[in-house]
Amino acid sequence: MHAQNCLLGFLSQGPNYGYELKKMYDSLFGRDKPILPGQIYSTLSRLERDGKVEEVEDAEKSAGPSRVKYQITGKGSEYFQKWLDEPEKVNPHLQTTMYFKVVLALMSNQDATKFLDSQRHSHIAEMRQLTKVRNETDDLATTLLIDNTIFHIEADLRWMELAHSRINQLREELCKTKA
Amino acid sequence: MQNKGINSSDVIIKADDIKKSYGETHAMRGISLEIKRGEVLAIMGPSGSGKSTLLHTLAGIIKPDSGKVYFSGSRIDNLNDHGRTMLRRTKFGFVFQFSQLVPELTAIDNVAVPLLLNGIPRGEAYHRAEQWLNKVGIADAKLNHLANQLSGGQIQRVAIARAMVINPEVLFADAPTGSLDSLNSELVMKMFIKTAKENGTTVVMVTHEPTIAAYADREIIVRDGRVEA
Repeated sequence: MHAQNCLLGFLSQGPNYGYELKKMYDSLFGRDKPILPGQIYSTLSRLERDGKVEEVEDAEKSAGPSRVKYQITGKGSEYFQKWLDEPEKVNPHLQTTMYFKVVLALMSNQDATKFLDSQRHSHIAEMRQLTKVRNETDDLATTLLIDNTIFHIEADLRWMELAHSRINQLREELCKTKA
Repeated sequence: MQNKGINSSDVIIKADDIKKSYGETHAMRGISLEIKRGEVLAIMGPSGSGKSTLLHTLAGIIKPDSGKVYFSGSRIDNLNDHGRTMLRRTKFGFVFQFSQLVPELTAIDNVAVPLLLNGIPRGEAYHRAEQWLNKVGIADAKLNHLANQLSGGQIQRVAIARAMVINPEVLFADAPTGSLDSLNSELVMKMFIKTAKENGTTVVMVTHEPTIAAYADREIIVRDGRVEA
């Protein structure tokens, strides 16, 4: 799922080659675990099958082996935008997805704070609801379970706040990556 | 969005394009907001964003450089010292992070003081103070403890009783649980919001803690002197 949206996000900046997409992925998201070239190509062919990317005529003459250049389609852009705009449901492993969204929004020249704000609204609504339930219950087990979820949401919210404060710095870093 | 059923009398505090600078620092760059009667509002934002300046301006403690602040339909930003003191003594309650109880006084003395200042007879003042301390969960045995003999959670409870004893229309709180651990924060907030709701008191609180803001009906974020939706 991430791989698909990453490639769509990268391609929303303009057509590119599989190998270049792998380099971009590894520099931004693959610190501990570079993506396998096979995964890039299988993801691209899946996206192509679904009509979200298409091969494009490559004007550049290359001396090396023939390379295929891909571009995002209207359907692909729509799919990517929908993913970016939709706040994520609270879950314990959300950090990665939120990071992906911030980076990809910035890379596709969008206002990443918009995503952070709508995600914050969604998180705080969930937290308010849980706080209300916790206030009204007398059951200790329920209280303890809610405590745990609330602290996970809090961690996400703190991260969003910090990401918001660091957004300009991140944008500059990404400009360097693009260049 | 339509505000169905809400007329102007439901708005207890209104700020209209308020600005405040300290030299080159713009603490508020034009903030407008409305707070409904009985609402619990959380003001969040990074340090230095202007949220405390906003709270103090809404409470009539800080005068804005420009813009207007209304309480129950009347302007309060242009009151003189006497007018503002009266407002703070009779209509507004305050709870701060470090509750600022008078350390040489007992818990019950601390709560009775605002009533005595308002001219309430001594017996009546102490009776009401005791009722409030019981309501916020301070046992009778602790009523005559000096403030500095109480735990952090108890101190904040006494501070809430002291703020509520005058039956304020609005309670302003600045990081009310900032000095407490998680369990005490939860217990104090639960009691605080319950008490405010039972009395129909409007609450405006500044907090860094998302877990505390979650007790509010609504939250706003202040960044760089402006309110974000």
